[in-house]
Amino acid sequence: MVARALTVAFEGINARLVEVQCAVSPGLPSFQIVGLPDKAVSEARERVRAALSALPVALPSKRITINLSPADLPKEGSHFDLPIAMALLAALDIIPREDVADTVALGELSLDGALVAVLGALPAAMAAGDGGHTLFCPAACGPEAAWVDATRVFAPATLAQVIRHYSGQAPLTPARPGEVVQDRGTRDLFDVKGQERAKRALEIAAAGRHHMLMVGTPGSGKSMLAARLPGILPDLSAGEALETSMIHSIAGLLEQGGISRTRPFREPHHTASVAAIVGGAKAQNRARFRWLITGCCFWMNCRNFRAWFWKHCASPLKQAKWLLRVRMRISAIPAVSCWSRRPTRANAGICPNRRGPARARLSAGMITWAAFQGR
Amino acid sequence: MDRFDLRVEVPPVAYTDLDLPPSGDSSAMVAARVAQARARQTARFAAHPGMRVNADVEGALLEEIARPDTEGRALLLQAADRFGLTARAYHRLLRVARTIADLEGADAVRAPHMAEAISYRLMGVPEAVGG
Repeated sequence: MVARALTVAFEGINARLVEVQCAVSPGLPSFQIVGLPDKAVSEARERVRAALSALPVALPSKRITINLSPADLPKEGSHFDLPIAMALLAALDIIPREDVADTVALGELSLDGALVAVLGALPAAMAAGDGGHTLFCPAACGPEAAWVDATRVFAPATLAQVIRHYSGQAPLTPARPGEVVQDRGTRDLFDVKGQERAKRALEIAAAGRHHMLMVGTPGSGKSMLAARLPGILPDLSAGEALETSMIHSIAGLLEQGGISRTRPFREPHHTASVAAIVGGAKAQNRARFRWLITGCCFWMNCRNFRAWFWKHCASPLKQAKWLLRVRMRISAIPAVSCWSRRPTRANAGICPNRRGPARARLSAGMITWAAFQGR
Repeated sequence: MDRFDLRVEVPPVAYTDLDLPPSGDSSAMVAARVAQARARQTARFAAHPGMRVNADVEGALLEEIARPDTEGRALLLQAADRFGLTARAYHRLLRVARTIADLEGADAVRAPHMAEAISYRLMGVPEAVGG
């Protein structure tokens, strides 16, 4: 008979429920995982086997098949270890099947049976809450998952604790939500001497979420001003904080499960690739998520960015939104955008786009800035 | 350039100025004003889902909420004529002027708000810098 457990697969920042089915059938002894697993999911086999033998639970000399359904959805990440182990334990009648079938689990197993923290506990808790399921996640992810209060969250530290929870020997207590981090930073607008006009423009930009361009010689205080933008922006609303935290959860940036209400500040370098800035195709590449913008973004020396950047940027700049492309799912995140550059001859008002009318578009102007500099 | 709502020049600071005690408002004071302006916007857009701040407004609603008074309109037309502002610039000016009025707590967009908004667009305009 087939035992079932639930887990999630990530599509961008959205978690989609995945059913883990486990069948133990007669035949040549083997342990197989099917359902489009990537390398990390396939290797769960070895971790689960070692963790169970550490408990100790002996695997039967039978054919064990794990199916991850829907089978056409690619599965990535190491968080499938715990649901696979739970489905297997249910199939072996060590824990009750009906309870496990209604539980969403995620967590990576170490060879001794301890549960290692994984990314994306917060979106997983949201998905579990939507379906009315209980969530099991590693102890380190508990505060983060419990924060939304969407569902009951249990955060065991080892696989043995999961078994003792179901057997009634030592029921787990629900995880406590992480604290809201109050960090306004130490950068104060008061520190910037002079530049009253730029300060006023910064205030207007923050109030109406307008984007601004600062032009000045090196050392005049453009970066210093931009770094003080998060300090004057209002705190993230509950919805925005959740949106930000979901992204941070997937990117593994939530420390101690604490949720921050302060708007993040990003400062991409002009040599960053297009995938690094607008989001790549693979959810695995965590570094790409680091550019996610929910607060404000400072583009230093913006004319150094390449032509393709301006092509990608024209639309976000127009809408004051930043488009994030993750696995073809596009979400737009409002950002206050702050730009700076050093003065050039283009600054003197000569239109760099000679073919176009005097009111050349930004994209055209910016692209030619680099070429223009050399003349 | 046209797509930037606000454009400012950040001139070098004189060494003598750096010796002076800090001037201006602290981040907390500015943040309080920004929060008030945002609260006005939230109240204004309560009936319009998908809009949260002035930068989101478009079309007829923008004309309605950011309609300048007679003096402001005259100033806007004069600036548009003198500096050859684009249609995009026109709408951006209205949005920025609305934000400036919100920061002041004013219900109507008046000439001083419009003048300040225009001042943040002049950098890089050939006529404005004599080029």
